[in-house]
Amino acid sequence: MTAAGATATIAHPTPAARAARNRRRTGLALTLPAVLVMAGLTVVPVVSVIQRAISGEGRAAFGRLVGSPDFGRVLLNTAVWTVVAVVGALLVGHAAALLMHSRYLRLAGFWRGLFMIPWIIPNVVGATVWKWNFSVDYGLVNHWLLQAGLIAQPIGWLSDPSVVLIALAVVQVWFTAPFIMLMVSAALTAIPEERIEAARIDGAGGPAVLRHIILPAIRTTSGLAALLMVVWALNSFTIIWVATGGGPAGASTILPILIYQAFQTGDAAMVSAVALIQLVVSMVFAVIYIRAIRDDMEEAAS
Amino acid sequence: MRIRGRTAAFIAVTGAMVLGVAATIGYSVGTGRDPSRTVTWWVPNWDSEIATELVAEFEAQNPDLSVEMVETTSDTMANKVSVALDSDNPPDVITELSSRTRTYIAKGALSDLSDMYGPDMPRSDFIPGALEAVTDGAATYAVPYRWDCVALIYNKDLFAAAGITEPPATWADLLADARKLTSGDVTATAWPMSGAAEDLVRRYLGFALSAGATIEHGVPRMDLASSQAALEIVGGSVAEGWASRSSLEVDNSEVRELFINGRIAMYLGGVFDVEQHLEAGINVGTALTPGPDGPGMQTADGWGYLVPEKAKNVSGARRLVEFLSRPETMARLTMTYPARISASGDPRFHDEYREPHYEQLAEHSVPPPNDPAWVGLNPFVYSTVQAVALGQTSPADGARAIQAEADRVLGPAG
Amino acid sequence: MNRRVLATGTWIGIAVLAVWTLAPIAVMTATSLKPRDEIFAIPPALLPRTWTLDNYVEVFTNSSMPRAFLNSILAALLVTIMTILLCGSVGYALARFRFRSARPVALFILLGQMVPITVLLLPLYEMIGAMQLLDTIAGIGIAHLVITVPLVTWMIRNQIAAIPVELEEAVLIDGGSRFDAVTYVTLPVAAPGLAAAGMYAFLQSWHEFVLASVLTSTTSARTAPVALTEFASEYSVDWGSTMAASVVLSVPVVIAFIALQKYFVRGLASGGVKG
Repeated sequence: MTAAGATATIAHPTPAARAARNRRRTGLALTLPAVLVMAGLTVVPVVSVIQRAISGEGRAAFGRLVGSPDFGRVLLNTAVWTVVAVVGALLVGHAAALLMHSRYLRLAGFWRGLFMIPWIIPNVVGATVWKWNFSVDYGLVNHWLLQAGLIAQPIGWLSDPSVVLIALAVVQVWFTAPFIMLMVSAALTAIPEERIEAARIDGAGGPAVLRHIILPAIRTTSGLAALLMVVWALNSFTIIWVATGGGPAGASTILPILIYQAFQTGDAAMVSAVALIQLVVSMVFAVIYIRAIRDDMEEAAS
Repeated sequence: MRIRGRTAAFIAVTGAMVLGVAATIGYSVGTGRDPSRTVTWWVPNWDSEIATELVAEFEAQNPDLSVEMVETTSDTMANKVSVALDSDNPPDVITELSSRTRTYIAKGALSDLSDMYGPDMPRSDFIPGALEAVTDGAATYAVPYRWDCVALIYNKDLFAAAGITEPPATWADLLADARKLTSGDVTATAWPMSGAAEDLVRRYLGFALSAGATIEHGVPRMDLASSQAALEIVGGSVAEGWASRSSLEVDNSEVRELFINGRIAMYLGGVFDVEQHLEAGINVGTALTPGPDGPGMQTADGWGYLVPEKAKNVSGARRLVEFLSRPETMARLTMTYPARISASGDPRFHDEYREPHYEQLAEHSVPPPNDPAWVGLNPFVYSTVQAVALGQTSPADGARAIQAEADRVLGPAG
Repeated sequence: MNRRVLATGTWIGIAVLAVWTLAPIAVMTATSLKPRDEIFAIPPALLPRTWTLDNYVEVFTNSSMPRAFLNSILAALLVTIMTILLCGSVGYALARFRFRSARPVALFILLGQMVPITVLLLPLYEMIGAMQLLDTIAGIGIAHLVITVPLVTWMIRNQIAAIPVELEEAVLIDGGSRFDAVTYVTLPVAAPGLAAAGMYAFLQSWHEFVLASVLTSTTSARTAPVALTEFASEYSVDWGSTMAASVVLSVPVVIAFIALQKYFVRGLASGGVKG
């Protein structure tokens, strides 16, 4: 009887089980094209990086890297750069997106389009303009600050080792904040207006609505934006390369600069060694992100 | 019915997009050319105008070959060449910087062109450094066609205003003149301390070589004294104030702009810069680089033709290189100085402003150190010079740090 | 009263943002209108002393910029379409279907975003070469998928996951198919997210430099950021023309983006859906 029942279940699955299996299959089929494309594009490079990094040559490169007198400072620089760039971009981007949804703003679309410009112009051009603006001799930032009487001496934004990294992180914020604005704007449209109205009727003020309704509703997007900013910060070298080349005296050298220097000098083992470090650090953040939104993932899937 | 309509539209649009993408990709797949009749030549965009004329002549003389010119640009060349040489699909001829070739030689990516040198193209006709830079052991992997170096460029008006009649010939003169020249908005000089590491490292090396350092097999061999002397000038000058503090944020071309703006009175620059200054109406003069007690040394660099080991049409490539290396073609394609002595007779290479550069090149220059291990050390030297300029490190400590790092990476000096 | 404070605050915020975002753009535009010898003048001035359009004439008559602009647009559109197709599919699956490999798949796709471009260069060059697509727009398009797919997958997944499942189920109960549910409920509501994802994909391809510079060689496929380097010669850079070209490149894209902004105002409420 029991056995027969079991057999029956296997031979003729219940409609519910069959539907579940169909859903699994459909789900897998839908993921397949993207997975194949990404596998095609990334598996070979990643495997060769790992291979080279753990080979004898790669271990020697790790030795050279860790043994180099400046390695500790490069890590510290990378951390400072990442934190300032990510936090700055998240703050500016969220503020801009919320402003764009303000009821009092007219022509929001126009403003949003304008504020996208830093992200539209070519990186090299933007970085060069900032480099000029920060120059001691012909930089407008120093010129205007001097004229306004705010400073007595021009500041070496790019030549003073104590400010250069922050100045460059500000440039990175300038480049990346529009992207966060875009993502958050899209997420904000998904919040049902009734929910905000209801809270207002209940007497909640602006900050309370922001804290209890808006921010929780966009948290998966904010998290994704934060993750992406971290990954970008850990991979971007254009701004620093154009503006300071990692100087002065290594004050703005971060991991991506090391990798690009090694790439330019044809040091493949060093490229793989640094790339592996970057990959592992990025993966840690990715796993943190995915764990953080795990509940959300399970509850959304039907 | 309405529901189905929209869904059908959705499916149709999606399907159309997929088909469209597939068709675009299918359409783009190359038809393929006959490699035995085509020679692909990667040529920098600043050479392309004259190169186009030369290619037309070459094709007229060689009707069985057609040359496909591909323009490279200064900012993309190094990456493109490096990736193409690593792949199985490189072009047939590449115009590249001589100092970058040793990395490619070390990877085994270039074909040996030694047998191209002979009665029609004797080795003795080349400026020795130009050949040395692209030779490894007995084999020469390129034909150099251009060779140049920097010399001293100075503003005659600013010198006169400071009561100086002659450009500095020795380091003692340099220091004395620098003190007189530095006042108000004007500083004596500036160094390219931002931008490409090689540019700054070359300034440092020039002074180290003048003070007795040597280069063996592409690796500089310096002692603490020569290294320290070089750091005192290139880095220490900023800390002491006779080189502009802006040095830390300018590259070669911005040093030139500082000179044009009258902010610096002299600097080390190439022949091309002089033309710009004349155009800008500056009373410019040129001279040999000062050394400890006479003319100083400089590293020279240039451009040459490479044929990749995996080139599809090696015989066609060699014919093109042979044509481009004739003295008369070489002279036409050269913005600075040709690598062959017999090509440098033209008076345009020897006017009043160019002569010091030519003398520096012919008599007081060596090819740059280009061993890959040393090239890998450039960022460290770059950073150390900057640290000296910032006053974080003394020239003596900086010299010791460079020595220690060189010993660690290159092995103890022999 | 409170209203007025809020309104004033909004506009002050906009003003601050405008200065912060647009001041460097003003420098770029002003530089494009300066003659060569004013660009590095000391002391600096924002506005040109002599206004000139020479740089623009140079861009339009004596450079490959018009062609490069077209190439960039085509490549970016190709990338956008491919990305939206691939990621719409996988993003929907990750948001709506429960299957065991979902999390590993999601993580794996994200991994692509983290591989440094320098590492990808050679393998991609060989792969695109093997497909006979070097120096073609399609080749760039395929290579650029590596920088768009990972994030767009997640953007779309998050946007769809934010839409209550019940909305789709209602369509199914009414006798519609899953496709009907997607076209009538999910797509309209997810439109802002899809638009944002599309813009992201477009722009990632639009200003990508390293891959495009290595994968293209002739003007027939060279994209705009790569073509900008043509204004640099061995010893000097024609910054006036570079800036003029950047202005020319940016204006149409900015206008297109402003036009696309209408997709951002559609909230759930206007979709006729009850939260």
